[in-house]
Amino acid sequence: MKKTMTILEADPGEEVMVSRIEAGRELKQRLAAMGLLPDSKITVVRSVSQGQVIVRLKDSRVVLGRGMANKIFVTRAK
Amino acid sequence: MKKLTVALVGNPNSGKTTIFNALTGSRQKVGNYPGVTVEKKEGFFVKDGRRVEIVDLPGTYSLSAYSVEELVTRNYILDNKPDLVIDVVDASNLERNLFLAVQLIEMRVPLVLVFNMVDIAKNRGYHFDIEALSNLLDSRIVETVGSKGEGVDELVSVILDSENCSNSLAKINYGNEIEKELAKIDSLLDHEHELLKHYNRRWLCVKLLENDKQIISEIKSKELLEALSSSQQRLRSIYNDDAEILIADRRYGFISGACEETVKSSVESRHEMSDKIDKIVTMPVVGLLIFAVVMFVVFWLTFTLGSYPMAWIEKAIDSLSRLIENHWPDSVSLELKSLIIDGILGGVGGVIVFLPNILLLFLGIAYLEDTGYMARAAFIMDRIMHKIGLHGKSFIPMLIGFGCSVPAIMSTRILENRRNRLTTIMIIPLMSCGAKLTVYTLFIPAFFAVQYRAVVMFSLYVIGIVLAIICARLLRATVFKGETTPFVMELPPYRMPTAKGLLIHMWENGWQYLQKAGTVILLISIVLWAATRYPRPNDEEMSKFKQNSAAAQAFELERSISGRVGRAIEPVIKPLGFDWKIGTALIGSVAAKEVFVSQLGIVFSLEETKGDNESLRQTLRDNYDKLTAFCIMLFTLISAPCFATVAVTWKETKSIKWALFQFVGLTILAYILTLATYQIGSLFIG
Repeated sequence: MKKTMTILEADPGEEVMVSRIEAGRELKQRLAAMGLLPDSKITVVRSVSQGQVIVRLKDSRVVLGRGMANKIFVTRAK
Repeated sequence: MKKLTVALVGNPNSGKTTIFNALTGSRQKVGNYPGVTVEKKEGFFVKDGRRVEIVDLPGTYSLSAYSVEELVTRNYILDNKPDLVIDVVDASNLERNLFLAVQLIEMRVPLVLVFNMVDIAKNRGYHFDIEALSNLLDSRIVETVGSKGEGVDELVSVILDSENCSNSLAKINYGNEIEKELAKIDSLLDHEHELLKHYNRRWLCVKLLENDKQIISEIKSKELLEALSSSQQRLRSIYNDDAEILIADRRYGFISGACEETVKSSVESRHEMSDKIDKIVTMPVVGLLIFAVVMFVVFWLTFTLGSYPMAWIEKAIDSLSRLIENHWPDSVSLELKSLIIDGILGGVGGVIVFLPNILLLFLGIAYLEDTGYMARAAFIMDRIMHKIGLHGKSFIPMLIGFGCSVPAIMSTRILENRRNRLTTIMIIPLMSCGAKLTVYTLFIPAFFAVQYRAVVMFSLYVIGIVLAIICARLLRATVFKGETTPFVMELPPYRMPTAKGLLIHMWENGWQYLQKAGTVILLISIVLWAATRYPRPNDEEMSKFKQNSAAAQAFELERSISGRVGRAIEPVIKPLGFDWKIGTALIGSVAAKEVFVSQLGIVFSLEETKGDNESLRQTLRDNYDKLTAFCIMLFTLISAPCFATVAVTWKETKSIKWALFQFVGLTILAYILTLATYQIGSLFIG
């Protein structure tokens, strides 16, 4: 069983798999449109204090602001 | 002439604007969609006897009903039925960009896909089998490099050939369970004649299952609504997720399936350059330092470099008015001369004097946006700005406010969220702008000893900033209440901006300023000119000033509307330590804060001494004390913004209500704080 954690706990440069997103319908759909869906692979580029994360998602980089990054749960790919 | 209408859609940062500029050149105009604050950009070109009108729709990732941009884009396509829809796709970020394309395919509209930035994609090691992809998506594909104009000719010929462009029939299979629910919905649709007339049937089914607010609100049949919610329920019980997420997932599945067969990637790591830069510019401390340097350059460009053309404009206006003055025939009314020179020419000068600032600022902003740095700046500043309830990008307009509120308020256009934008606009006048500085530099040396001058000056700037922070928090907690939109933002790859794109962006904003705010500013400046000139004393009253023109001017001003108002409000401003002379100068300073200085000179009937305010300072020292001087500066800092600011706020918020709210609100705030300062200060000093 792989450990589930929030994306804030992932290490920079680490590729992780999204396991679930605990957000409202609207936000979830916005993230889905950008390609952030359960089972999609993302790479953490930079994680800053106070919960901002830059992730690489398909061929784009996306900033997830505070209050959002801790709603996204991931598992380690390896 | 035969007319074709083309709608341009695409993801943010897909290079859509570059394609729009390449197609239409400078033949563009900017308007608004009715009822919303989203900008509507249109342009056209003429070729082979046909006029092609192009509408640049807002950039979106999807076509759901969640954001204004998405609704505007979708409704434009559905309601106006353009002859062709062009979806600009960033070829270097294909899968994400095709998500929008797939939704357009499902709408069954005449569609052409523009694979833009194919050069970058190829550099990153992507190889496209365009023919195969075109077959899978059943859509025409044109490859372009918008910044170099490559492929634009081909795109033009495809547009002109759009009659032969059939709607894509590509079908996305959503998998057994979802298809089952779609079939149920389909079977209940027969009675919704209105909807079917308007929309494609399959698209309608998908949108309903997606729980699309707008479409669902158009449904009449109760049976259908019940079926919908039970379908959504069923899917949730099977997959443990909402139907719209499942649908998005299948769409991405369809896309990656299509790409697997047609897109080859030869290089493994494709992100080095942007990643390397990002590693540095998003660092907590270094990133802030870089941002500070960038902001310094923007500020310098706007105000230091901008001061040269401003001086030329002032000179030109000055020589023009002197020319009129010297050649004015004696037989023609002097009132008309004053109207033309002081009213109209002065007003026109007052309008275009802001233009260099605005053009240079927007050149800087366009550069930051087009290179991709703006998104990083927002990221860096968000940590700080969030504390006062604002977006990271709000920092830029606030900083520009230290130069001038007019370009600062215009630059709030970079903020997408309306509540954020309004809050930022409201607090911008609290930044000590260049015009307020002229008031400070008059009073501070007149009343304060050398060693205290810097402290007093600094304290005024700090008071403004602190008040801005308090007001921002207050506004966000009351009038502009609402959750800050969760911060999800794409960091676009770094790119070299095109000169054409920068110039168009710069010119567009300058032109809008002249058209909208400029006309209001001109009008009010004529009104204010009249207020300081009329009613005029009669010749008999004036005759006693024969020898003393300064006294005559002072008397004229005292008798004018603004002098009378200044006197009338004396009882109100007395508790602030102000007399009617200050009141009159304050009325005049509504035109522009620096006018306060010249108006004071007139009410104290001082002869104008060029470039030297020493005699005025002496007079002020004779009439007022330190506390009053500080109160005047405090009041100038906070109170009613100049009417150029009012005009810009009005035009940018598209509502006079917000302009008045700002004007009245700040004046009341200024009154209360100055009153408290004067009254409490008097206890200690008096």
